[in-house]
Amino acid sequence: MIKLLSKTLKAFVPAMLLAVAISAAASTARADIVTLNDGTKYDNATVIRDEADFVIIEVIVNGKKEQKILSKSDVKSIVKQANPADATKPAVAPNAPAKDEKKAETKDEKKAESGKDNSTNNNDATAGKGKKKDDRSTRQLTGKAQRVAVLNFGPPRSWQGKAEGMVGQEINAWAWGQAVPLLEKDKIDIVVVRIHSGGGYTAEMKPFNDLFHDVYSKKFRTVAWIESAISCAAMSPWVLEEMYFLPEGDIGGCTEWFGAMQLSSPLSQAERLNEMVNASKLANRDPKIMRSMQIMEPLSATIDESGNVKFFQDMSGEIIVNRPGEILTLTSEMAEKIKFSRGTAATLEELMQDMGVSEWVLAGKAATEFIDDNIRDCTRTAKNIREVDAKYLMALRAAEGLRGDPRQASMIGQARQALNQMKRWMAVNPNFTWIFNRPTEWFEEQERILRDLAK
Amino acid sequence: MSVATGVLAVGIAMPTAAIARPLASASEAATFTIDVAKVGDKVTIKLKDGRTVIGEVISIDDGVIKLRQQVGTMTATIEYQRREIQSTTLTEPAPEIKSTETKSPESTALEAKSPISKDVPKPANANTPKVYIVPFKGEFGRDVTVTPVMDVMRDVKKAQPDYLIIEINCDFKFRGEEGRDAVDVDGLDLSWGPGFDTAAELSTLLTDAIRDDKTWVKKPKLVMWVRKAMGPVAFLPWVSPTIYFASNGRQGGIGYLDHQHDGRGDETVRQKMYSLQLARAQGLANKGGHDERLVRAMAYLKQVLSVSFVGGEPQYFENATGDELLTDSGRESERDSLEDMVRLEGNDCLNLNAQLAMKLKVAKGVADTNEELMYELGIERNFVMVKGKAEDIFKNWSLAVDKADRDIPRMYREAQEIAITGATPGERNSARGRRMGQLNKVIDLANRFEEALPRRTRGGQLQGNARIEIAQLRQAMTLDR
Repeated sequence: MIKLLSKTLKAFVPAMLLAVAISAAASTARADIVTLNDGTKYDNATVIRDEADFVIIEVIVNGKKEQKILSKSDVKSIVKQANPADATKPAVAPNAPAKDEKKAETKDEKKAESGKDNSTNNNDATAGKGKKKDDRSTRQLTGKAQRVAVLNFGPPRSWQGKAEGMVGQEINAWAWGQAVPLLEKDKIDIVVVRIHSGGGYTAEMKPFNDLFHDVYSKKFRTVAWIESAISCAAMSPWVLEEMYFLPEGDIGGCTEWFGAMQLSSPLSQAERLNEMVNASKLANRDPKIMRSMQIMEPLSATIDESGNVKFFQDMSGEIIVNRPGEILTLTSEMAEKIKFSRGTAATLEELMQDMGVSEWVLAGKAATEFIDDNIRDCTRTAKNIREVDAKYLMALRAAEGLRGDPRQASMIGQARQALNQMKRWMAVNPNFTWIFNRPTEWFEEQERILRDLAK
Repeated sequence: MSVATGVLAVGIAMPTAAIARPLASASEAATFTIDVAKVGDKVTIKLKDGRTVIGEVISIDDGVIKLRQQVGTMTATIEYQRREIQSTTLTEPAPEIKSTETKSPESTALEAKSPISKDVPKPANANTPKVYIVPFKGEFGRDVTVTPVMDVMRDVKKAQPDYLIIEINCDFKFRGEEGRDAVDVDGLDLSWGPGFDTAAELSTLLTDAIRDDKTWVKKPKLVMWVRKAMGPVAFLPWVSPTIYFASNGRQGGIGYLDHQHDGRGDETVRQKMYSLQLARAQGLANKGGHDERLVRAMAYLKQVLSVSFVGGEPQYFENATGDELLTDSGRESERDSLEDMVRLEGNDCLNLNAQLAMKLKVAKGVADTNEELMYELGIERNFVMVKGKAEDIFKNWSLAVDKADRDIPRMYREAQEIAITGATPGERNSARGRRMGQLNKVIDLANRFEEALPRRTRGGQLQGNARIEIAQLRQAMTLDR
């Protein structure tokens, strides 16, 4: 149901290849050379982003530009070619902070002065101002119907429990990444992330944060529409600025735990708290809210005459949002009261109204079906993997015991069949390789064993 | 008395229960009022046993007079034998019915004797509201689960009623676990875990599925009629804004959530679990337009809730400052007695009865019978009760579930008892084939009834193990040639 395992991206997730087709160049093309440990070499890559744990490169595949996210642990070397454009840029002083960092410092300084974070205004009625012209949350009427896609972040309750909805398993960033070109092909303007999930693996949270912030929000107006977003299912889309609720909706309960309801380690908790502070900033949201969802911190709010909401990590505000000694899960009622949500909508029609979209058409069928099919495929895999694994081992043991026997070939065949089935299932969700401890190396080893048996 | 027979029936305008009075031993002629009283007259009758009754004449028969009387907040139709009546006084004559029609003496006499009164509904026509009552009985999560409810909803859709009434009268247990009193951990785990999931999923069939179905032409008004909604089924009524209670109706039995995990794991994680479970339940209340604080008071032992009434409307306070205390803190000094806990009469956690539900305006009215409910809905004079298949569907499902519950372990045992013996591979493989066939039957049965028998199927493990066994048998067949 609600399980979070304390796994970090670095330790468990293998190379995450996230292919995203883009329609316009996002960077000046170069001829960087990126070589992976497995020998794969990208000669004419452009390194878009180079971080401690991952690197994003842009390559040309079949004449189309694609972006790939590579885990640094899989990268052997990166040789960057000189970019002629760099020579004309003014030199950056080594100690000067990047622009965003400077903003953060200012906010931190403000926090240190007052003891309260006054810098975040969750009811910023002027949110549209000062934002870029192409900010999708303030799109003007063009006379053209907005094309809306609704993607299920977990099986809705109306599926009557026919599929599971665990983040990292049935809900995975890989599939959502695969859906992007389908959405683009269908000329989608708005993506509604309809959330119904009890949580999942913490390891999937950051990939989703990155995907929603760096890809979805830049390409589409992307909003969350919440039926139930618990734990990792709340943290994963937390970077989305626009959150709407179904009347029965709820979001929160984000304490990381494992095993028999044990709290994760202090280090892990600190990491999660920090990650969510960053995620809150990306969403222009007061980090105190998520903090109360993760640890037992009280939360209250006061709404001034102008309708601006100020949050307090104590009980001094007029509205008690989270009581001391409790963990916060917001209902639609409270979310609307404190202006966390931008509206409560029971139907898609109501949602569009709340979003200020008067002309719209439901589209994105291919992407919707892809996500829904992936949920079902992942559910099936998780349900049946143990059985197929047992079949493989049975056949393998039988084959090993039948050396020199003509019946051995039949057992090898059965083993190979089961192995291929498992391999196909691993492709349904790359996370399965570590969730079910079946990495590529394991399959290669089994292939070798079967080849040896067949000799 | 209301009659509903056949596929469709017209509701006779008796919005009240008819209660037969015992015959009096003496046979004395009643005083004159009975002879000259007309249907619609308001009369005061003094009975020979000393009682005085006031009511409106519904019918006058040779030996019986029927009165519509006010009983508390309800009305009732009560019969009196002429022989019981000592005297009758006309309080208010029936309003004159102006008609240009000349009645024959025969029809006039017939009216005097006939039970048909001016309250008889108009004959059914296209505008007559149709009512479909779906009984949720038995064990929630076993007798009432997704499959039968989906079948019922298909039948409801065919009938296209104006009112869909869910009559909730479930046993206070879930998946075989009897509801017990305070801090029944197993009960809490079941109620707030799979029990809630069942309620939440079913609620979508009664609400969203109808709303979003473009082929469902006439969307019915959803009415929850609470007789017994204790345990996980208590979550269900909240999704409808229209709730009625039976006079002995109860909703609750989901308290002590904030002690569900006492002694397990870390406090922060426990609080996380309580918080998310509560919020999900409160979500159902929000869906139906009810105050989510009531759900918190039903769930949390520590929650103090009081109420004051301003302009007749309840105003809640999450402390004791309101005029009436609904729930106290549940601290040791305020803890309910064991007797109160068992009877769910205490105020540690909120449990709703009819009186409280009416007072807090959770319920719109109280009704014990179909007729009374129709009266509360304002359609007592003109409605059609649909005799749908709901009862049969649930009955057949329950029988099938009970049978599957017995058959699954029996068939599994029988499969294991098939000896894989024989002098030849053919004989041995034949036995293996029979065992495989039996295991496949177990799998089919388990798959069909898993939603009602999760303990029997161990959440699908039974089928998984059976499939692995089948694979072993198949392998043995391949090798044994």
